[in-house]
Amino acid sequence: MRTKILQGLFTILFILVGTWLYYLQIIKGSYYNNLSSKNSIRLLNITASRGNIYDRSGNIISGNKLSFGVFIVPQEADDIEAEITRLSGVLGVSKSLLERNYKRNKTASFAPCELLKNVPKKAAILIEESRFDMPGVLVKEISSRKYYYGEAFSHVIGYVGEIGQLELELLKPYGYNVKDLIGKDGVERFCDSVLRGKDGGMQIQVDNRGRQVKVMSYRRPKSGRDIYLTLDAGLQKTVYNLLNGQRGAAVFMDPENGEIFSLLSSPSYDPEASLLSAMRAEGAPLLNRAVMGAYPPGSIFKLVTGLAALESKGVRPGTDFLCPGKINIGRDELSCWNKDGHGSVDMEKAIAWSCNVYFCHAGLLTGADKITEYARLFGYGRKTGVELFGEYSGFVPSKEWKKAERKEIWYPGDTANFSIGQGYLMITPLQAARMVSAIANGGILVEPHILKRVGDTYTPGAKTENINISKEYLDIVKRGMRKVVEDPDGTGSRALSRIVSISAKTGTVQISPGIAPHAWFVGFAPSENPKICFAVFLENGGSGGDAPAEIAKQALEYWFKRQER
Amino acid sequence: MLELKKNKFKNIDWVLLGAGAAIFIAGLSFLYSATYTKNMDFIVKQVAWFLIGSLFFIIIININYRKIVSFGYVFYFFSLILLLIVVFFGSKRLGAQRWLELGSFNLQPSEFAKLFITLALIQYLTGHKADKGFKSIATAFFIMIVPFALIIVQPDLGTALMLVPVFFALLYIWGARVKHLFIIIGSGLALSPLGWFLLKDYQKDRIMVFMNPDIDPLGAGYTVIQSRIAIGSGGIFGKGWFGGTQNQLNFLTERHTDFIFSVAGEEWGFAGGIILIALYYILVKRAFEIARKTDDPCGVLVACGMATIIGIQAVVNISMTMGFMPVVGLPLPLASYGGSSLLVTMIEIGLLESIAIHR
Repeated sequence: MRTKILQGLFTILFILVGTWLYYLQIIKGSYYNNLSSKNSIRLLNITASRGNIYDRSGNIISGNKLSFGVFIVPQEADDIEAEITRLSGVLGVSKSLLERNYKRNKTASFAPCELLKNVPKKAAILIEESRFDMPGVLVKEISSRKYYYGEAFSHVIGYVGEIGQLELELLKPYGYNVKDLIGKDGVERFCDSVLRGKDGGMQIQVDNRGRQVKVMSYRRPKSGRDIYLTLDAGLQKTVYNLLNGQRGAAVFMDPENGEIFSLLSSPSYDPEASLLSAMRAEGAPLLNRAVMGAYPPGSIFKLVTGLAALESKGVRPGTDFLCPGKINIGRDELSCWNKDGHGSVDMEKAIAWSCNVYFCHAGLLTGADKITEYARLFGYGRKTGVELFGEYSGFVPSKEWKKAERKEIWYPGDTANFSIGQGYLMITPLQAARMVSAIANGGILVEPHILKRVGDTYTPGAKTENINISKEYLDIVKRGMRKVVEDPDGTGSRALSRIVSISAKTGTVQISPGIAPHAWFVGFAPSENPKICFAVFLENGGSGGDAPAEIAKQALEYWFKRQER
Repeated sequence: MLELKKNKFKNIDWVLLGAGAAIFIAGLSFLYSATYTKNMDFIVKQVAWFLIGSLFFIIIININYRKIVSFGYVFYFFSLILLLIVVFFGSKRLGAQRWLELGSFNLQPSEFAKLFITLALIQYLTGHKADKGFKSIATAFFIMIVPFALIIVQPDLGTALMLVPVFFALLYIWGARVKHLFIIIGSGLALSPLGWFLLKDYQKDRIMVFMNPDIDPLGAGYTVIQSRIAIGSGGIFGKGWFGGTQNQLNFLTERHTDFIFSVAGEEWGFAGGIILIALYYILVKRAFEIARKTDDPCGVLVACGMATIIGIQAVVNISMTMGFMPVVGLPLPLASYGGSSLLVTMIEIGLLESIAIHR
């Protein structure tokens, strides 16, 4: 009897064990199967190489360079501390730096953790040779971004960096991961999704110590696509050198289609270096003055005033005004920059000599509303749509605006100031270049752009708007612009070149007494058949006819000398 | 002599023998899968121990088990001496002092002690058939508790705890009053919190980890978690021989000894696992049937004792590999790698056959 009871007890125990086995293997089977796969299967990311960026003729501007990095696989290392101590000796860097990198970069014990990048080849070979003494330490080639023209392209190309927390949250649905490199500015950022390609991966089976046993599957990374810009590396570099770190900006573009040949903001920064120093540096190098900078246009706006006056019949082509050196508008007195006066001037001469008095008269006869209208027609007060971040729309004042925002009426003095580009009007250097291109190409407002080709796709032609200005009037203004350079008394005569005929307009913007004025020099060349237009701007650069004219002239001479060859 | 042999063939329990042989062969296949990447030593040694065990088995089935039981006290003192030697001179492995090195073989005296103490208890209980009072029970308890203490200080919690169910099973079959048994169980439970302080840290860890393996997934809980993953991932039909990733990629520690069932569960699935469990159940069931077929009270005690030793080890071992019980160092009889355990289990089956033959 008692043996039966004891046997029954065992029967119950065995049934319990069998039931538990059933529970583990049948009911929870797929759960544990999943865990067992996770145990032994690792996914390794293989970063796709980022697309290159070329200029319009195929010169590489931005590419990838390979360098050596020292990594450690925590799971495979016997004594991480000892190995780090030893590595610091071989690499000649402090132990604390390696330890800091280790703590910062460590993700999983099987994943190689970066200790140091840009390791010299000699040290890399040394480490590779002594791998057996340092289990888990490995040397890997890592790809980093290389900018072949250094600072010259920074404001166009931008730079890359590790993805930030906020960016990651936004971009995770699009396949971005922690530690991904991402374009932070310029084309690198604008075209990031094209440039970055698609990461590949490897499914590997590892043993309990994380050592690779075999590759189970492999997906090739898909390289990013290349990008061709409309920019010209040679011109860009030339202008970069000419600007020589002075605060300012320069834009050169094709007046027919808005292809930008060169776009610079100065001072610039090194896109491969840490940006912390650039952030604190004098002259705010991270600011892209060509599209973010807002400045009063000064006398270069007289071109718009003049065309508005002609089109609205405020002045006739033959109208003369007498410039006695100043003009009284109500109680205000506005002086011409030439205190002795320009005498009797027509529009051509007024442009050539940049006569304030003429344009005040013309502006007053035309009316602020018309000038506002034409300023907008020439693209002021709105973004140009160039493929760059942070573009500023600029500002065009109007009577309504002053009444609504400032609760003041519009005085004739406001119109006079507006006519000569002073006062509330604010523009960017790129907008200035766009304006002169519309004059150069016969009244078509083009959309400036910097992307020529993305991968195998050509970017669609830029949008254009017809401003509808009569050729007769445009020719008057063009003749005036030619005289700016070619007339011995022209304000831009310094730009007179034996190589190419340049038409231009200077601008010298008084800010406040004692501070050097902002200097503009905008125009196009060759005068007869414009192929390139430009806007050069220097903050506190003095007279527009001096330094900016010199920069424009030399850049254009470089450009046309090269064209001849 | 010839007459006897014929007799043997008539009474030998072939089912018991077949189940045991099947378990051993299955165990060899698990062991091979678990160790073939390293070397063949494990298989060779296991087979060598099996041959030694077979020799003992043949000798024992030719001897009347009563004669063996009559040497119970001798075995008892012999094992006490061995245990003392281990405590003072034994070699340490895996944090425990359980082995005696004899040339290239390592003996694990606590394995033998399980059997010898059982035989000593049986000898005592058979000799005190008439007096089922508390005094006899107390003496039996004393016989058990001395080696129990020596084994627990090695420390070998598993083997020591094995003695407890065997002790109660024997007393129960012997005819002790259930009331007395409950008094012992009750006082044991009352004293058990005291025992907690006597446990080594690693043993406390194991019990804590059993309660919640996730508290230390890379330390003490690692073995259990990985073992449970291995068994669970086996599913219905398993991943096939040599196909267990947990096994082949070294995620399972101790998989050739105490955790051999993880290998079985992973590679042969529920189908294989349940057959293995059934084989152990057949072994235990046949032992109880042998007990019921004999008229000799001593034979009944021996059969039930052997059934309990084998059955409890199988249940506890399989349960612990599934994370159903705390990890105590107990091998899976006939399947786990280890000469002492294999030899002792074969002797135990030999004793069962001896009862079947000499009834």
